[in-house]
Amino acid sequence: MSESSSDLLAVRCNGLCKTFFSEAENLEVLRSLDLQIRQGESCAIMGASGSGKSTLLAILGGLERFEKGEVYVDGNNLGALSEKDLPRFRNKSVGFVFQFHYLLKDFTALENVALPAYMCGVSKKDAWEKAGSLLSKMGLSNRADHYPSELSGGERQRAAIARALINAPRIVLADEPTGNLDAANAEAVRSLLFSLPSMTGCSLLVATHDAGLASAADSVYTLSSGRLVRQ
Amino acid sequence: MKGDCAGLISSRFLLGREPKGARDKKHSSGLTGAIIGIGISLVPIVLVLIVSNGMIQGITDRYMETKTYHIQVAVPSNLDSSSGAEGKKALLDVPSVRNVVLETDGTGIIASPTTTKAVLIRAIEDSYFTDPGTGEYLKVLAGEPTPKGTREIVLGEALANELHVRIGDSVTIITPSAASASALKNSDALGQERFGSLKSDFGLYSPKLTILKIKGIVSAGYRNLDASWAFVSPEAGSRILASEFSISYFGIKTNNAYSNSLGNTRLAVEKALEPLYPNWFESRLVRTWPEIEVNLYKSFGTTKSVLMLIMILALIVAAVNLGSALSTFVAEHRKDIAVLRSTGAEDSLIRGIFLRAGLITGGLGTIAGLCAGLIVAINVNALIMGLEWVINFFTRLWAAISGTAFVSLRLLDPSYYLERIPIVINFADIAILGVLSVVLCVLCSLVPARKAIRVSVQELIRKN
Amino acid sequence: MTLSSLFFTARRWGFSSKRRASSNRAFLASLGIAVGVTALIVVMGVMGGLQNSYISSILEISSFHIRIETPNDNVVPQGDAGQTSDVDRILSRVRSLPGVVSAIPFKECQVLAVGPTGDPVSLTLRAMPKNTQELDQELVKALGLLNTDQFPRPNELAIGKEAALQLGAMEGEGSDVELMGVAQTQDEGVTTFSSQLTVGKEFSSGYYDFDSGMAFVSAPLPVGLERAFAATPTVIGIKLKNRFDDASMAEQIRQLLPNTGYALTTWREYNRGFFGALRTEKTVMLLLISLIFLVVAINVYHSLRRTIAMKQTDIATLKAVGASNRAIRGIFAQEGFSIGILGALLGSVLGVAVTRNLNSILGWMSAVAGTVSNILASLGLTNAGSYDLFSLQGYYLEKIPVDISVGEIAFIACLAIASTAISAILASRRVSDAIPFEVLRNE
Repeated sequence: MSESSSDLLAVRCNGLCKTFFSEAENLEVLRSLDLQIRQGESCAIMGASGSGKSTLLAILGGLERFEKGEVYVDGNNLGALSEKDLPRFRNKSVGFVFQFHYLLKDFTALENVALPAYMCGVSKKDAWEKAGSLLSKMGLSNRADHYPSELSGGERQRAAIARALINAPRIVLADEPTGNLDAANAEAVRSLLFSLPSMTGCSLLVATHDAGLASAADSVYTLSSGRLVRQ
Repeated sequence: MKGDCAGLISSRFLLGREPKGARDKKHSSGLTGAIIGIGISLVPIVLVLIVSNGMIQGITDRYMETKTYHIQVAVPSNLDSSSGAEGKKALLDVPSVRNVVLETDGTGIIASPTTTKAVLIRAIEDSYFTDPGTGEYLKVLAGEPTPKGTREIVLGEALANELHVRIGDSVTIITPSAASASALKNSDALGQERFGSLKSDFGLYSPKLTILKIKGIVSAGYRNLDASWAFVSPEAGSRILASEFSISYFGIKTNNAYSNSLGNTRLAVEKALEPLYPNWFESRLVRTWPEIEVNLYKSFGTTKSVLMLIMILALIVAAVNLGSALSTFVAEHRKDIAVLRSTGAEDSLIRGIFLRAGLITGGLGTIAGLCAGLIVAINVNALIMGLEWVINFFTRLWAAISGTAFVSLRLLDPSYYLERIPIVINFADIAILGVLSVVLCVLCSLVPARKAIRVSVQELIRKN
Repeated sequence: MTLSSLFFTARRWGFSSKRRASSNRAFLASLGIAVGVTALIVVMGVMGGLQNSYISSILEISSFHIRIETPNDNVVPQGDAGQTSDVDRILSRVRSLPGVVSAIPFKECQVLAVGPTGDPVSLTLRAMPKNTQELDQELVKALGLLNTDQFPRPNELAIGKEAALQLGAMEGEGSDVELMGVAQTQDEGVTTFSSQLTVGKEFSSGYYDFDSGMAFVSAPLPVGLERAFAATPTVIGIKLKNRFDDASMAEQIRQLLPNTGYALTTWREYNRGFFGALRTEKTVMLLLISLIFLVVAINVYHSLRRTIAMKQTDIATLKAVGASNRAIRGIFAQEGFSIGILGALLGSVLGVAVTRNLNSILGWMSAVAGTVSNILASLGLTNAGSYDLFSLQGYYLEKIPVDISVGEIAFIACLAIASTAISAILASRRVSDAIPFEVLRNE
């Protein structure tokens, strides 16, 4: 594939295989999986719990290794990246939102959002400014100086999303982002997430078992028997 | 940039800014204990450092000012007074020399009605007593310090006590003096005869008996020094001390005894004296004070090194403790580390966070320990007096109860130590200690920092 | 809760995966204790060795176990030649007491000696019976002499190693020294005396003051020296079977003495200043080094408190099934004990090993330091010259004596164990905080 073509694809996955090895048994979670996500496209992957959705997202986010196949995210060949290069990839190309917010409890919302930028070369002033504007886009500007323990569940998740966006990633990966939220907050997060592609131009990949959440996506896949099936 | 970021994260982890949660207070307690441990371990090191420096300096100063001078030039015992005066004048012209004393020392026996003791007889000029350095350490306890004429003597305090004498009493001095010159020359022939069998009263060396009156009693504040001193005037000395059995020297006091320029002064002294005494002067006759009491200083140095080495053990244990506490600190923050990793934190950042944590905690402990140590050391004399008072109070009580005799305890027995420890703070030493402590702490943080790096992102992915 | 179930629980809690980190921490704490114990044993051992070598020299040669100063009798010591003076009567009575090993009479005076070097050296001259080697073997041994030799030999002067050097009169050379000093007699008043003697035996007690400042002659005295001793009192030096019995023996001996004029001193009184100083030094070192235990104990305290806080659920569960506060506290306190015991054990073994081989270890360290400083010097970083890490030169020692008793080691071990045990007990007092119902409900 030429450079320009792969520029249009945020994610390109061919023949991805992932097996979990343990003493009891070897669990082949992903079998020769193919996936393509265009720039600015929103995707949802559904499947039973334990089907491997999280694993797929983790691999795409550079959080998990794989045995076979080609995976390109934001032009990066994940198979070729060394352990030393992965952090940089995670920082610049990907924004991850987990089911649990994983905000650092010792930092305010603003600081949590700013840290990924500050960590990797952006000046403190710029990082803080960016974080502030992101938080106001999330509707959290008046909560920016509060610590995670002072925020509601929905607010925390929105802050986590802002954090995922701070370095303008090519793709946001969200793993069960509304799993821990009540209906009202889940709705708010859902609309926020799916407005991201038009707001920032990034792609979005959401793994969820919530059909309602998935229906907002441009493309919906089901992961079963280690393969993706388009709905 | 990255360093600041690591610093920010590190201090937040340490302080635990989360406003709520009594449960989380336990996070800082492990490190607080380690910080206290560092502080505690530094206190005895600082104390030993300052006290030993003080003792060593106190004793050394006393030796230098009252006994060995700063520079000595050995001269022949039969140096006549005009040559001596010339030499003195030439020496006083040397820059940094502030005082020159011509002294003659000899060993003798001193006897009072009750006791006889060995004595070092110092025939010494007035300028010794008027020198400000001497005056600082040689205290006059009774009478006057300067013996005049041929019948006066001044004793050291300890000596006077052992002889049970006071001002105005008389003492007898026995010193060896050679028999007549011819006797000496014939010593071989006569000697052979004489040594054959045992003896008549006056052999080769006739003991000279002199009776002197005690004019004054002085003390140098350190028993080892003045337990056997007696001062007489130069005239008395020339009568009591035979030149064959005494040594004479110029005792020189300078303004730069402790500085490196003492070597220059020594060279200047040599240059000044060489032309005056071409017959006998050699540069090896000139000695500076470190050369004069070599064994004493060597033993001080060794004692201090050994003490410091032992005390540093406590610091090492405390630093390892800190490392261990930091490991726990790392373990507590595994999730946080994984989160940072997931947003792209590199190895250097993670390592930097925990090395800085070690630096901060080690630094805090070091500062606390150095301050506490300084405070204890500065007040050590008061502390010792207080401790003595407490111990004696209880022993007095015990003696009253059990009916045994009460013996008062002196922690710093003046027979063996100085009565008061002079406080000498060498800030360079303290600074070096501080740096060493912090470096040790950072070194001990390397292992926890490495553990932190190994925390993998996978921890976030495993579902709770 | 029974003791065995207590240990069972403690062990179980020890085997979960998270515990490996804290067992590392516990082991490190044990190591810290071991370091403290080793340091204390070595330091106390060296100080004890130095003290005891001084003490034994002093006790055997100078202060004896009990000294009796008799009034000045103007009598020239004749040894045991059967004179019936007061002193001789006292001697025979004292010697007949059980518990007394020896009693010898002697006189001391201060003399100046001049030998072949021509430098006057002051000596304390002691006149003792010529069969001292039979009467008081310990004294002769303490002087480093074989007790088969007659000591002191008649008409000879026995001087110490250092004095011999200064006088230039070594053993075997047959050199003469001239002795002079003050003589005070009733008839003549204050006069001088002077005498020559050949130097015979050279002794070496290991104690600088004796080796440089004491000399012995035998009674009956050589001619010329009688006047030296005329005015000095006779002293009776008594050695006991057990020197710690001095108080009761002193009482018995006092009964044998006439009422006035006799002064009895036990070795404790005679050497009070010296022993007091030694004991103070030892105590100060003990205090300073024990701070290591304090440092470790504080860490044990905090780490135990954390463990307790983390295990609130387990504690609550145990309580719910009937364990008492005390039993649970015991489980945690046990960790403190274990740390202390393990550390004390390790430290004791290491400490004894180091003290046994101290001189070779120090020699090795000095060699390393010397090599390092030579390397640095050849690189031009420091001045060349022999760098003595530990210089024994200033101490008049050939090697470092070490002496530590089992009692002292036991004391140090107990101190170590107590420090961690106390901190563990203090930390475990927190256990009563947990209220079972609330904690379990929150899960």
